[in-house]
Amino acid sequence: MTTPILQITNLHARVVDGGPEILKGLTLTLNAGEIHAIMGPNGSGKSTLSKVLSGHPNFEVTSGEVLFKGENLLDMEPDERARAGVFLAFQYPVEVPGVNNAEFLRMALNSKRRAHKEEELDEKAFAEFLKTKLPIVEMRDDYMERAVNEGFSGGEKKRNEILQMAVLDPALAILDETDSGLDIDALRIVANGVNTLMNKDKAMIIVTHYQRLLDYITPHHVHVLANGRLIKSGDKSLALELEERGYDWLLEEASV
Amino acid sequence: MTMTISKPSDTKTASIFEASLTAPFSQLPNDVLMAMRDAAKERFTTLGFPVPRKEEAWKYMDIKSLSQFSIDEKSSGDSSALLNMTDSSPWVEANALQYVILPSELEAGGPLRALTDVIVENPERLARLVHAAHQQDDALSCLNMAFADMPLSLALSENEALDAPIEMLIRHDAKQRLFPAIYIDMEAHSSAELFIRIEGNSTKTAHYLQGLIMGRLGEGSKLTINILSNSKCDGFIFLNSEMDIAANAQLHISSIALSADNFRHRMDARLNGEGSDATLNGLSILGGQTRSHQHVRLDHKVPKCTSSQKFKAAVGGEAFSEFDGTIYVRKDAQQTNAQQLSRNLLLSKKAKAFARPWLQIDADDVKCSHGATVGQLSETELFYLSSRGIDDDTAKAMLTEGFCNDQVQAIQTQSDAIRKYIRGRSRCALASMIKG
Repeated sequence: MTTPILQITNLHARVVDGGPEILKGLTLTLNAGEIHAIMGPNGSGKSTLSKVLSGHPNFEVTSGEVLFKGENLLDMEPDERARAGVFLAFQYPVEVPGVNNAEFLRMALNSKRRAHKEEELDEKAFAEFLKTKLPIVEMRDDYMERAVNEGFSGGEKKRNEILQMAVLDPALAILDETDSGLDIDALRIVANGVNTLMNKDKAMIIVTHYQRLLDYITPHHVHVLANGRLIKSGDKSLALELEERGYDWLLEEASV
Repeated sequence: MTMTISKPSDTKTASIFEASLTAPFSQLPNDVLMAMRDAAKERFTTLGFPVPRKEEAWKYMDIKSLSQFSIDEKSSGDSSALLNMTDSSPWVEANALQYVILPSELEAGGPLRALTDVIVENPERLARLVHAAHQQDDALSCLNMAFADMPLSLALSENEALDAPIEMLIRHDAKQRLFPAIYIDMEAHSSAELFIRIEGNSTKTAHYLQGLIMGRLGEGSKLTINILSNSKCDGFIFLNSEMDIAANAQLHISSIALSADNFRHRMDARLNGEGSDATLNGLSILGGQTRSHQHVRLDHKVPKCTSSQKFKAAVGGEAFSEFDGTIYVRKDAQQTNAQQLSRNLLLSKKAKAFARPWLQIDADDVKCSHGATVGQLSETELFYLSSRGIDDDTAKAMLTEGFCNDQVQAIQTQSDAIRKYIRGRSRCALASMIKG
C-alpha cells in the first residue's frame, strides 16, 4: 500500500495564547491523485485548517497528528513545509510592496531546489522556465516586473497564486476559497490552471463555499466541516445537494 | 514645547573640541582664499560648535567621542594614498569624469578645477565667497570654509551640459581629518550630474570629515547629486549641502548612508526663483551601532515652486536614525506645492528611529503635506514568504530591500552603472545588517 500524501488524525487546534479551540478532532486522509473539496458554513474552521496545515503562527495544535508523505508535518517550520511540497493558495493573497514578482518566484523556487540538492536557476534560466508557466494561468509577462500582488485585481491575485503553485509544483496544494471574488472568466482560468497542474502523484484540498468551482474542478470526495469536525463525506453529488438544501439539515443530523 | 536639558558633558565635549579647533586657526593656509578662511573663522567663533541638547538640530547627535580629535594633529596618513588605490578600477561608471579627492593636482581642462586657480583668474569671485562666509549660519560650514583642504570648483557656462556624470571618490582613511569642498556655479540652462562616494576602510583611527557642497543653480539649470556614504571607519562624517536655486531650475539629491558611523547630512535648499523645484531623497541602512542623521531645510521663498522630500531608514542592531526636515513657506510663496515623507523600518528591539517633520507656513494658498511612519516588518508578509519556502533571514532581507527599493529607483542618473552600484552596495549593507 502506498503512503497517503496527507494523513490527518484527530486534529485539535486553537488560536495561540489560549484562544478558542477551532478544530475539534478532525480526521482526513488524502491519497495521491485525489482532490478533496471541503465545504461548510462560515466559522466552521475551513480557513483554520488551511492555515494550520501551512504552519501559520496564529494557531497552535493542541493534539492530533498530521503526516505528510509519512513525515510529521507539525514538526516543520512553515518554510520547511513549503520546501517539502506543501502549498497554500491564500484566500487573501498578500501584497508585498517593493519585492519584484519574478524575483520572488525565483527565490521561492531556488529555496526548494536548494533543499532538494538541485541546481539553482539564475535570472536568465528562470525567465525561460517562467515563460513555460505563464500560459497556465494566462498571465502576461509584464506582471512579473511588478511588485508581488501590489495593485493586482482580485482575479489577478488569485491567478498569481496558481502561478506560484505552477512554479513550485507541490505534492499537496490547499486552495483556500480560491474562487471567492472571481468573475466567471477568472474562475475558468484558475480552474483550468489547477486541472493542468493536478496529476496522479499529487493531492489537493479545495476549500470553497460554492458548488460553482466544482463544475470546473471535479473532486473525488466532498466533505462538510462544521464546528471543527468533518460531519459528512460523500462524492460530488453531496456538493449539489448542499447547494440545494443548505447546511441546516446536516447540522441537525450531526447535532453540532 | 520640548524641554531641553543641558548636560555638562556635551557642553564640555563641544568646548574641548572647539578649543582644539581655535588653536590651529592661527595656522590657516595662507593662500588666495585667505579672506574667505578668515571670514569663516570669525563667523565660526561667533557661532561656536553646536552643543547637543541645547540646539534642536543637534539634540540627537552623539558627539562625545569628538573630543578626541584635534585639528592641529599631524595627518595620520599620507594623502598620496588617495591616489594610489590598489583596486584595479575603483570607478563605477566608466564614462564618468573621475576625480579622487583630494588629488594633489587636478587634470587640466576638466570641468572640475581647484578653487584657488579659479580665484586667481577671477578675483571677483572671492568677494562672493567672503560674503557667503559672513552670512553663514551653520558653524560646521564655517569650519569647512576655514580649513578646506583643497576646495574644488565646478563652473558651467550658459547652456553647457555635461554629457557624463562626474564621479568623485572621497577616501577619508588616508587622513584623520578631511575638509573636502566643492563650489558649484551653474549658469542658466546648464546641467550636471555628480556622484560622490565617501569611502573609508580603517578602524585603527577615528576620523572626522566635514564636507561642504555649495551650489548656485542658475535659471533653468539642472543639478543632480547622488551621495553614497559607505564608510567602514570609526568616526564622523558630516556633510553640508547648501543650494541656491533660481527660477525654473531643478535640484535632485539622493543621500544614501550605508552603515556610516555618525553620518550627518544637512541639506539646505533655497528656492529663490519662481518655478524652481527641489527633490531631496534619502536612504539610510544602518546596523551595529551606526548612526545617520538626515537634516533638511527647504525654503520656499517665492511663489509657484515645488519640492519633495522622501527619506527612508532601515535600522537594525543598536543603530540610530534621525530625519529632521523643515519646510518653510515664506509669506510671498503662494501656490507652493511641498511634500515631505519620512518612513522608518525597525529591525531589532534596540534599533531607534526618530522622525521630526516640521512645517512653517506663512502663506495661505499652498499645498503642503508631511507624513512620518515608524514600523516593523509585517508578520503577514513574512508568513507569506515563508509559506513559499523562503527562510526567515532571506525573507527579512527581501522585505527590507522591498522597503528600500523605491529610494534606489528614485535615484536620478544617466548611468545604469551608478544605479546598479548603489543597488549592489545597498544590498550588501542590508545583508550584513540582517545577519547582525
